[in-house]
This record gives sequence, C-alpha cells and structure tokens, in this order.
Amino acid sequence: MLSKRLMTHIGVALGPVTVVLLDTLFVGPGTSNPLVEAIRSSGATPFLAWVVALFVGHWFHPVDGLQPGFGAVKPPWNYVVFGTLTLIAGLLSFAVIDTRTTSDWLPFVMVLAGFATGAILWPV
Amino acid sequence: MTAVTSRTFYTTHLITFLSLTAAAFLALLAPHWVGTPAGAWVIAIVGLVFVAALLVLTSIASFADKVPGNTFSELLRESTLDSTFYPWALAVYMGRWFHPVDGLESPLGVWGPVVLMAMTWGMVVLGDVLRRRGKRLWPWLVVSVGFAVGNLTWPA
Repeated sequence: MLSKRLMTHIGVALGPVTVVLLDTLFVGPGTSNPLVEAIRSSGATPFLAWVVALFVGHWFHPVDGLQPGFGAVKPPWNYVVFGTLTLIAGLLSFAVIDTRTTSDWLPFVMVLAGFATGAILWPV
Repeated sequence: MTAVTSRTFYTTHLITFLSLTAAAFLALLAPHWVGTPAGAWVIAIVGLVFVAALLVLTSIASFADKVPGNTFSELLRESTLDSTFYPWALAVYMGRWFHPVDGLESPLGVWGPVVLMAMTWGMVVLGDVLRRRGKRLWPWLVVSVGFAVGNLTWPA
C-alpha cells in the first residue's frame, strides 16, 4: 500500500517542517508567551529530550542488524522495558525533579540516557 | 540509471528541496507568529498534526501492509548508507535544544552559524565521497559529532 518511494517522499516532505516547528516551540523568540514559556520552564524539556534522543538512538545505533538488548531481551519485553523507562523519565521530569533548578544539565543527561536506551533496547 | 529510477531520484530531490524551502520560510516567519498567544497555539497545533501524521503513517506502514522496510525508521536507517544529512541535522538540532548550560552562547560568536554551515557542507560531502568508495560514516559517530557541534555553534 505505502511503497518505500511514497514513504520516502512523505518523510522528506514532513521532516524538515516538523523540526522547524519543534525548534520554534522549544526556542521561540524572547517573548513572555505563556505557551512557549510553559514548554521551556516545565518538565516538558527534559522529557522531550529523552523522547527525541530515544528516536535518534532507535534510528542511528552503531551496528546494522542490532538486536534489542544485544539479543538478550526478546520483543515485546524490550518495549515493556523502554516504555517503563520512558514512564520513569516522565515522572522524574514532571513530578519528582525540580526542573527550575536542574534546567541546565537535566535535558543533557536525558539525551545521553535516551540515546543509549534507544540504541540498546529499540534498534531498528 | 533507468528512466523510472531517474524520475524517482529527481522527484525525491525536488520534494526535499521544496520541503527545506518551506521549512526555511517557516523558520523566518514562525518566531513572529509565535509572539502572540493565538499564533503560538496555531504553531503548536500544526506541529502536533505534523508529528501525529509522521507517527500514524509509520504505524500504518508498519502494521497494515506487507511492504518490507517501508517504515520511516527503516528508511531513515537505510538513508545512512547514502547520506549523512539526516543524522547530522537531527543531532545538530538536539545539541541546539538540549545543551548542558543555561544561557550558553557559542564561543565562536557570530562565526558559529558560519562554521556550522561549513561543517554541514563538509559532512555531507565527506559522506558522499566515502559512499562512492563503498564506505560510510558510522551514523552514531555522525550523531555524536553533530550533537557536540550543535552545542558549540548554535546553542539556543
């Protein structure tokens, strides 16, 4: 139904615009817009860092044909594990850690953890 | 290159070019729109629609048809055999968004974006040269360097 060619065309059509939209929402201009400020000051930033890095690890892991958990974690358990880790990342970001005082380093740590998790537990 | 392959090749590049052009216009205009609450909501909703479209189409492709290797994830992975552009671009944005120090400014000052553009060009060309020699840059290495470069040259 959806050929590789069609999916490629849809992907290259949507991808750049999506990234720019995300960039506008993450960064925005230096205004006091409530929505942009809410995204920046809440736990959304570290959680989104986790999600984005999870996908980047999923797509760009080091070894072609890599198996989840180096073959030790069989599907669907890899989905269960990284789903649980994502839930924990969300709880830490939104409820547990005060992101106002950790806003500098927490997203960076989430990127590293998310990339490793995506690569190890969810390699494409 | 056969006629069909050639047409597909040029179509893909035309769509990529148009999409990048649309994204560039959006990058110029969206910060002005997002300056008002109504504009911010429009941007947020349109952004959600785009992300949802990507995810839903990926799911449809994954589970509702029998075409092998046609999900966005598989196509993105496959694209690393041909180009370094997508892992590089995503990693640079990741570095821009999620650098480790609040209020970080590029030590390169106004030269940061210039260096970034030059490195992007160099990375794409290097990937292409290696591909023509039957090799490729490891995508994880491209991501790691892109993340560091995004931190240093273009921190938000």
